[in-house]
Amino acid sequence: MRIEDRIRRFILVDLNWRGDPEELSDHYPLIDNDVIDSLGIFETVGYLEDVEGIQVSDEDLVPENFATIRAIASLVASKNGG
Amino acid sequence: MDFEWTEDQQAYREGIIAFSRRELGRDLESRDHESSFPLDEWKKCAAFGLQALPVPECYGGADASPLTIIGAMEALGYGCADNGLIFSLNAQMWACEYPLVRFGTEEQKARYLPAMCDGSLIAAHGMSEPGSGSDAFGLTTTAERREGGYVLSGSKTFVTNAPVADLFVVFARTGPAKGFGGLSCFLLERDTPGLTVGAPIHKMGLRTSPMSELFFDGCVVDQDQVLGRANGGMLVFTAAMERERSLILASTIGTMQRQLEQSISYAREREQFGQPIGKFQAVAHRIVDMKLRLETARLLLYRLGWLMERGDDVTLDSALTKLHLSECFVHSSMDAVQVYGGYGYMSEYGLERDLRDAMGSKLYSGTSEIQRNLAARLLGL
Repeated sequence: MRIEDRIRRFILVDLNWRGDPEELSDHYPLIDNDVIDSLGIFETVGYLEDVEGIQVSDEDLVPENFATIRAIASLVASKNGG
Repeated sequence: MDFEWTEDQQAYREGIIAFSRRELGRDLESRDHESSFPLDEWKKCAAFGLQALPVPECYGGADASPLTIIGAMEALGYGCADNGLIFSLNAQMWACEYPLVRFGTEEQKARYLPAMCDGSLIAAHGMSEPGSGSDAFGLTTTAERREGGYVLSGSKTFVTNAPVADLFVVFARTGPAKGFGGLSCFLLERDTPGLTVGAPIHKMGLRTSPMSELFFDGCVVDQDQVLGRANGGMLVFTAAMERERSLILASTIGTMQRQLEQSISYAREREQFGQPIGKFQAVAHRIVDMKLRLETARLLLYRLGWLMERGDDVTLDSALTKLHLSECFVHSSMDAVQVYGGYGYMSEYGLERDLRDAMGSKLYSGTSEIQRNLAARLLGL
């Protein structure tokens, strides 16, 4: 499964997002649409560290890195040397 | 499990109790009445090293561990009846020093932290606004980018320490993203042009801790006064709030211990209907409930400190601890007043002041409702 799809599943299942799954494209604005709020960002960090196996630092915790599923995937890729 | 303090920690706690009984809480009844901040006692606390607790040694701090801080603040709450002074100390340590330690540049730390430790610099944290309290990230104060810095416009309210503060840690919207996404944190010195400190706000309790509004009108801030990354204010705020939520009520364990001891003593001495009132089950059971609250609150807090020292994620535990301690503090303060009867209602015994002070604990650093919301979310609800 692509990293983008794993993140999408995390948002739907673990963050319990109640919106239309069809809308949740790789470029759907997650922060502007309240998919990820201030607590959700830390839950997402927990997912990235525990499941995706990357280490997220304070420096990484800026909105740009969590703005879309693609942005989160890019963060993971950069941590994995991508 | 070992719940004993080390010899050093125990000696430090005893030292704080002796210091606070000797030096703090002077003229408290009148200062509470006049809403007067005890600057001289603030400086004595700094000389003793309290403001230095969470700061690394290289900046004049004590670099104390979470459990050592918990033990110290518990001792302070036991020995010092001035909950307002303690509240101001907490505001300085958790909402100002801690984010500086964690997110500050070397220059920012060197400029501010030594003075914060030695008591010569008082700091205040501004997040709440007239239209955004529990919805903290709904703030509307803006910081527009300008060459070399930003221009702040807007206002803050409920800013603890503001009337006497030299430095302000404030949050403003710098990015287009809504909610938490576009926030930045700024360090503003009191003489910054365009910054106005409002008149003191009078409160139900914690009156010796001063509070006021802040106004920003074309307030120009240099780029190097950003704390943390631009648009990274959410992280600064949430980190500070988690630390504050965890530790701000440690002193109430000491206060509840003092209330319990006072209530037992009074119930043994005060006689009605031919016997000490402690022989009446209605009174005795109330005091037992105070003891039970004290011990459960203490256990939650000590466990939280233990988790913090292990480096665990304490988001849920800090919310539960803050919720439980604040509600225990209010209930036990009410019980102490009830045990003392009419005397508890009189100012000279200090119990009605404790009750007024305790009420704030269910509101500041996230209301009890917000703590429950946070915990529910983390339980997957």
